[in-house]
Amino acid sequence: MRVLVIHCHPDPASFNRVLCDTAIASLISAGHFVDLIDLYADGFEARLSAAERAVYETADPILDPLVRKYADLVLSAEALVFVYPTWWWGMPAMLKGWLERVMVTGVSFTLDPKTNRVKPNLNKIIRVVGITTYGSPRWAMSGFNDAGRRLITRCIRILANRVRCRSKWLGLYNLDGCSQADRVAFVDRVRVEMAAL
Amino acid sequence: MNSADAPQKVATSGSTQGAETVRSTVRSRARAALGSASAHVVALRSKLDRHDASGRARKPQNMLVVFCHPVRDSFVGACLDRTVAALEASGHAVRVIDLYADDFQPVLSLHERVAYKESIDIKPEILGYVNDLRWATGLVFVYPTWFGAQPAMLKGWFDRVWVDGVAYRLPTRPGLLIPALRNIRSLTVVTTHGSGKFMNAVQGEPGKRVALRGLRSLCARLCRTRWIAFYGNDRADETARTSFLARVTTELAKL
Repeated sequence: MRVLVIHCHPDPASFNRVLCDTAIASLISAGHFVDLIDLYADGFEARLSAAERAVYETADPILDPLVRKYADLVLSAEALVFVYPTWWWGMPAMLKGWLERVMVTGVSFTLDPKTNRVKPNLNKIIRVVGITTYGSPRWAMSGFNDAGRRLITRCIRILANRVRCRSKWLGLYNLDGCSQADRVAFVDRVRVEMAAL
Repeated sequence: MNSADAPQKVATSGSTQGAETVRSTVRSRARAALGSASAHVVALRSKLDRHDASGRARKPQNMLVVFCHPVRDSFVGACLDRTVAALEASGHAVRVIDLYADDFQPVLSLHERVAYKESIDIKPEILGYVNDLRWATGLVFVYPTWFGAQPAMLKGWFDRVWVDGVAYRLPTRPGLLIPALRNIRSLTVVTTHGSGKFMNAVQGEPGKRVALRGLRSLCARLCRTRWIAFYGNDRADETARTSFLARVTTELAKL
C-alpha cells in the first residue's frame, strides 16, 4: 500500500517524533511504500489566505506549489496516517490549516454542479489512522467528546472510500502523568498496529 | 405490581383520608422544595449573568468578540457587524479581535513549545490578547466552520494564547485542568457551516465540542453558552442568509 504519513510537532526531539519514526519503520518493514510530510520541517503556512478563499469554489483552488505537491501525495495515497500531539481537544493549528488548504475541492471532495452537495473524492484511501498523545487522562477527554478524534475518524473518514475504508485510533492518554513503561508499551502498540495495517 | 399494591394497603389498614392528607402534604412540600431550588438557580444565574429574571441586562458587560475570516466583506463579516451592533445597542463595552487583520501567526513555535510549561516570556503580541481575555466577562466567537471545526487561525489562537497561567493551571494530580478564566460568564458562538445539519451530525461537530465543552470548562462554573449556527451555507439562498442575520441580532440582544 502507498501510505502518506503526516507529522506535526515543533520539536524534532519529541516523543511524538519517536512515534512517527516507529510507525514509518514498521510500515516499511511490512512492505508498504511510505511518503512523509513533516509540516514543521517544511515551514508550512497554516493560514488560508484571502486569495485562496476567493478561488476556493473554482475548479483550480490551489495557488501554492507546496500545497499542490501535498495534494498530489494525498491523491496517490491509499492510507493516511496522522501523527500529532492533541492540543486543546484537537490537532495543532498547523495540521488543521493543512486540512483546510490541501483537502480542497478537487482533492478531498467535489461539489455536485447541480445540487452543490459535497461528494467524497478520496476513493483510493482505504485506511485512516490517527496516532496522538493527550496530556489529560482518558476520562477527562471523554467528557469533551474528543473532538480531535471525531475530526479524523469521522470528518476525514467520510471523504474516503465508502465501502472499504476503515479508521483506526491510537491514543496515549495522560502523557503528563504516565510512566516510562506506559510510553514504551504505546510505542510497541504503534509498531504492531502499523505492521498489521 | 408492588407500586399498585402500596396505595391499597394504606387504604385498607388506615383511613383513606389520612393517607390522602399525607400524600398531598408530601406533594406540596416537594413542590415547594423544587420551587425554591429553581428560584435559587435563577438567582445564581442572574447574579452570574447580571441579568434579571425577565432577561434584561442589569449591568453592561465587557464583551470580547473574536473574529476569524480572511475576507472582511464576507457573510461571516456581515455576522460580525450584526454582532457588534447588537452588543453595543445593549450598552456593553465591546472589544473586537480580528485575527486576519492582526496578521496573527497561529503556529506554535519550537521556542514556545519549550517555554510552554514555565509560561515564561509571553510575547508582546500575545500579551495584548491575554489582557483582553482577563478584561472580558463575555466571549463571542464569529467564524466559519471549516473541516468540522474552527479555522486554523482560531485554533492557533487557542494554542498560543490560552496557555498555562492564562486560561488554566495544571492540576497537581492528573485530571481536569484548573480553570483560570472564571471572569468569563458567557460564551457565544456565531458560525456558518457549508454542509447541512445532517452531514454535520454525522461528522460529530468537533468545533461545537471544542467551544461549548472544551473552552467552557475553563470559564466560570455556571458560564452560559449559546450556539448560533447557520447550516447548509453551500446551498442556501439569500432569504435564508438574511433571516440568519436577523437571528444573530435577536440572539445577541439577549446577552
